[in-house]
Amino acid sequence: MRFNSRAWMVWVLVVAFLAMFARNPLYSIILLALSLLAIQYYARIESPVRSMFLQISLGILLFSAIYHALFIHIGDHVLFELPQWPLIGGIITVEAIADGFRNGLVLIALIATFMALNTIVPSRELVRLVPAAFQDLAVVVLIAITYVPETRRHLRRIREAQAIRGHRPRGFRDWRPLILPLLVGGLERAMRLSEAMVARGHVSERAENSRAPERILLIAGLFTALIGWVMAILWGVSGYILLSLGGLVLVLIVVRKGRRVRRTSFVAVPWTATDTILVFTSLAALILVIAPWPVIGRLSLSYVPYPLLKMPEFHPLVGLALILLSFPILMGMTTQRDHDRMTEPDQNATSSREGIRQAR
Amino acid sequence: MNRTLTASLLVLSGAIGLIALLYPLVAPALDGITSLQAFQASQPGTSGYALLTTTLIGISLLALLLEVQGQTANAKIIAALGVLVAITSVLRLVETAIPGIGGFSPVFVPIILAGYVFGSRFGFLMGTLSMLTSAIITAGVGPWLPYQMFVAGWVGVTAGLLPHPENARLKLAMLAVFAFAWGMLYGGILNLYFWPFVAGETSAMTAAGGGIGDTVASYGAFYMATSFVWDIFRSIGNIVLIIALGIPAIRAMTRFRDRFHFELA
Amino acid sequence: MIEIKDLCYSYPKAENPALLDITTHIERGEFILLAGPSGAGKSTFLRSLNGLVPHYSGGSVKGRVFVDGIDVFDKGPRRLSSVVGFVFQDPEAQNVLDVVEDELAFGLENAAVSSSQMHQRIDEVLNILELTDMRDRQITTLSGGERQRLAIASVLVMKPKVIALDEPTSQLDPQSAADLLRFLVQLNDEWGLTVVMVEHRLERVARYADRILYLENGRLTLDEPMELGLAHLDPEGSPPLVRLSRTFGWDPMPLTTTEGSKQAGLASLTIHTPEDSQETLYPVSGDPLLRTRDLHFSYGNEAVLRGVTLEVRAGEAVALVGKNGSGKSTLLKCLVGLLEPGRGDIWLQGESILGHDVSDICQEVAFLPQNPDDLLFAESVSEELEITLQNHHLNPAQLSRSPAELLERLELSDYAESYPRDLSVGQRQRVALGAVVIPEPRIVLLDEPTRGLDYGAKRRLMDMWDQWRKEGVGFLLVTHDVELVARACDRVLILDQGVIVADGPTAKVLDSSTIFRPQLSRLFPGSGWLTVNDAVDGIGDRLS
Repeated sequence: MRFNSRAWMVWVLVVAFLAMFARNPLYSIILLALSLLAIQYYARIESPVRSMFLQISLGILLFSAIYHALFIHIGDHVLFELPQWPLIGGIITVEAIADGFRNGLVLIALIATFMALNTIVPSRELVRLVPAAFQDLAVVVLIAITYVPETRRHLRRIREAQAIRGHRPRGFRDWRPLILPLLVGGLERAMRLSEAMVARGHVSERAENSRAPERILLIAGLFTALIGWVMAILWGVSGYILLSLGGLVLVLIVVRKGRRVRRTSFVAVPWTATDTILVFTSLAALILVIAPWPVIGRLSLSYVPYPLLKMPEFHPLVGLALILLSFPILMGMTTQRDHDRMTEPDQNATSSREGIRQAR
Repeated sequence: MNRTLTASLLVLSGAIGLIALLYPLVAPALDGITSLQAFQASQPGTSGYALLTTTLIGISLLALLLEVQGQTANAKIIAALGVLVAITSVLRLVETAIPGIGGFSPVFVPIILAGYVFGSRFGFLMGTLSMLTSAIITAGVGPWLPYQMFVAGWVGVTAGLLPHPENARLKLAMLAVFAFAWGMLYGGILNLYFWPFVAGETSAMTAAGGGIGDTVASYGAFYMATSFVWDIFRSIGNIVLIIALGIPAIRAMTRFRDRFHFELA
Repeated sequence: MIEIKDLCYSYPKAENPALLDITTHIERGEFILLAGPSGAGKSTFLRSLNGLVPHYSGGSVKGRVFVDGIDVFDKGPRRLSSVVGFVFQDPEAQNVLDVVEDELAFGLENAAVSSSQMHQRIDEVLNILELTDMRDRQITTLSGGERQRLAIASVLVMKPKVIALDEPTSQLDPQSAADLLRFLVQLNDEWGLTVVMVEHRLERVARYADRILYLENGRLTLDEPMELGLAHLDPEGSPPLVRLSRTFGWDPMPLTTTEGSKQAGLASLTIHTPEDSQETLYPVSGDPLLRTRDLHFSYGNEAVLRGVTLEVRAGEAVALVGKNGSGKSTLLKCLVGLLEPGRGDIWLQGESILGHDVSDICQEVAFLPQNPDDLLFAESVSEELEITLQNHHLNPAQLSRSPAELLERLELSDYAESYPRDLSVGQRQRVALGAVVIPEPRIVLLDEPTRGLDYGAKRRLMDMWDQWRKEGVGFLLVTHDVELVARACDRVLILDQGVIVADGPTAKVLDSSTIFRPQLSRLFPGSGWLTVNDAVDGIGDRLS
């Protein structure tokens, strides 16, 4: 069971959006669980964050709790009182500590969401999501990803080569014999590489570029976005619209530029019905939460533990949104069961290509 | 015309960065005029600021990338960028056998030197794409990425604007100070991004109605607690590395500048 | 197919033109060998076929080049990318992407070929070059030979009419090189692809090529069918077989050992068995300088060295040959302490050096790695030598030979203040050699020292080794170049799967080997003759 990277992107963005806004710890915990389960069922890539996730989470909770305790001196349950030191002096309350935990949870949920993106979507596909207008930059990143292992080997070779002429790494000055050959060798390699690219028909969009009206539009869009941001901060909704307008202008330019790029793509990743459902359920969940409902108004994701700590409430409509977001988890559970029955060794990254090939 | 457009885009984007990043410091002071709470009350949840700012920085970053990409791209520059970004990413990852100070990563030095030798546009791309690539290969993509790219891009841009004095000592001193400053700034700015997340509404709650001074003090405490020591190490590391590598690396890259037909911006 | 008229070209800021008044005509389906010393303009010539010169390199150009009726200088490399395929020397610096299939698609994506056509063409090319099994592989996991095949495949998908190759085999071992040539010949024969190939080792290509173009100082000094061309070539630069046949005036000129044997047969040269003992060139004295016993090494679970015992004596030149992956480079690294052997011991002049610091060992055992560029980073050649001395805390007064004298021996005196990276491959190789031998070691280890060198540079290198050997320095060299071994080494070790399977005088070992056999040994099996001089002397003796 595998979803299209673009569909995943939509899911991740919606979950991240909610995770950012949800101050209610119940919602945060569920969102965190969703991300962790998604990783459980779909992860294909090792991530250093994943192996240290527990430690990172505990660290964040602890830090956030202490920070809140020291800086917020509100609440009915007073644990003790610090003398009137500057900044942190005052009463230390259970409410503030609880709020600290709640706040830490928001951050952890957000990190987990992006961890899901990082572990589920392989880097190559991540780069493929780059719009055609940024083709040149995507090629740069692809080259960089390609040459990272090569560069590591090169560095190892250089280290050996310097060792055999008596080089002993001791201090910062000893970076020189390692970095300079790496740098010069790298640039020489870049010369040869660019020749190979040109010889194989690579052409950049130089000729296409610098259409003055487009660039003026770009500046105008950026300016609109800035005004929108200021207004959103000061007055709310109207600013949001302006900011979106600025964003829209940019998207428009990107699409237009992309259209002019004459290129085809080799890997056509299949888009299946489940991908459509994933996008649909994700967007539905988003709309559920942000839509201004007739009678009840906009759903609240907030929770304030002050002045008295109380149980956070759980709104059924938010619950519905969270159920919609759990679609990939449910799919993962069912296919996982099939998978267990077949007891086949798990496929690795290459088999996605197999799948693609069979799908053609 | 051409230059004016680029310049105005750069200025606008720089202004955006400055305003957006400094906002959390000013916000509570503004509460007297309007109210962050009032704004937040109208929103689902209360973290509207982080989303808004990420969006704005993202838009501004994309606009700059669009502009700069069109201006500099050819196969040689693409290949050179790709290889240099790979080297920077490796330096960021690799457990180099050289003793450095705890957790020190030399990622800024190549960005600064490349920007200095090959110009602002190259420096900008070098900064943003180095951050992007290393995030991709270390599985570290997150909402903080646009910020990192944005700031690292500006490291490259400003490096390209530095003067080129004849005197090698002077050049080195200038670059060392520059690298130190950015080392500190980077930490400070990235923390400004994280602060509202970690601190939640504490800033608003403690300092509501208070002056900018209180907020700055509160941020200062956060900064000292989280990353001051770290940043000092990074910045000193930058200085030492610039002094050790600066002149020969600049000389080596300058040799390639003509071969690559770089246009200096 | 290719029409070149009065081609002149100068690089920007260059004093002398790189190409001068070149006029030639290449037919469809011809196999052209482009030869000449380093720096003669071969690469430049090749790059003028697809417009990399001057569109990419700048500089000024005169004359005209037409490929398949297209005016190259007018249209430029993008248009030519579907007509002329280009394969470069270094297998590690021509892939843009990291997976085989994606790499093949890169050019097609650039040319906006439709997806279905793309798949069809890629499948076809993978099939021809026998890469189908590797289509999903990471390119970094391929061997050098496979990478070069991929490089050919990735230009072949563009359906070119001409394929231009710049020393495609120079970084490969003999077996991979032979495989690569086999594919090229097949493409030439069956597809009618026009092949233009630059190659230093004529003996590898001579038999396949239809015509030879020889460049010297940017001028085309020879443009003739292969056999005729070889007869007119400077003897120093030609393959052993050609030199031998010219000595005896054989006609037609044999290009393969089979043809050569016929000629030798016609000349009724029968071979007697040689005397067993071969004299070493220089007095080999007493105890071994370097000795190992039962050396084992593994990378993880993979045993690379499985009990290597060898010795090198003063003044001796020992060749270490073996297939790729037999553990040669690993062995050299163990000898200088870069790798710690799992079992066994290493003695330098009777003293165990196991566990000693690399930098201490390297004062006595110099090691020149494959790629000299990994060593060089200083601003000038003389600074490179100084850096090594500083590393070892030596000062020039402690040396018996001053750095200036060393540079003189390396024929680098004129370049003492040059930037090392600007020098030619051969010169860079010698700078790197200087940087490792300045502390006056007793033993010199060389890893593939002749990779990418032309005949002249090779001979110069061998002459230099002789000077050191007279002073009692021992040499151990890892190489694929059997002609070099035949000419310069006293003793040969064959390493196979981590074990030394043969150890003896050069003539004996090479003669009884099937893979590592010089041309003349194949021609006169059992004769013990390895070089042209051996054969000329041997045959001369018999005739008199």
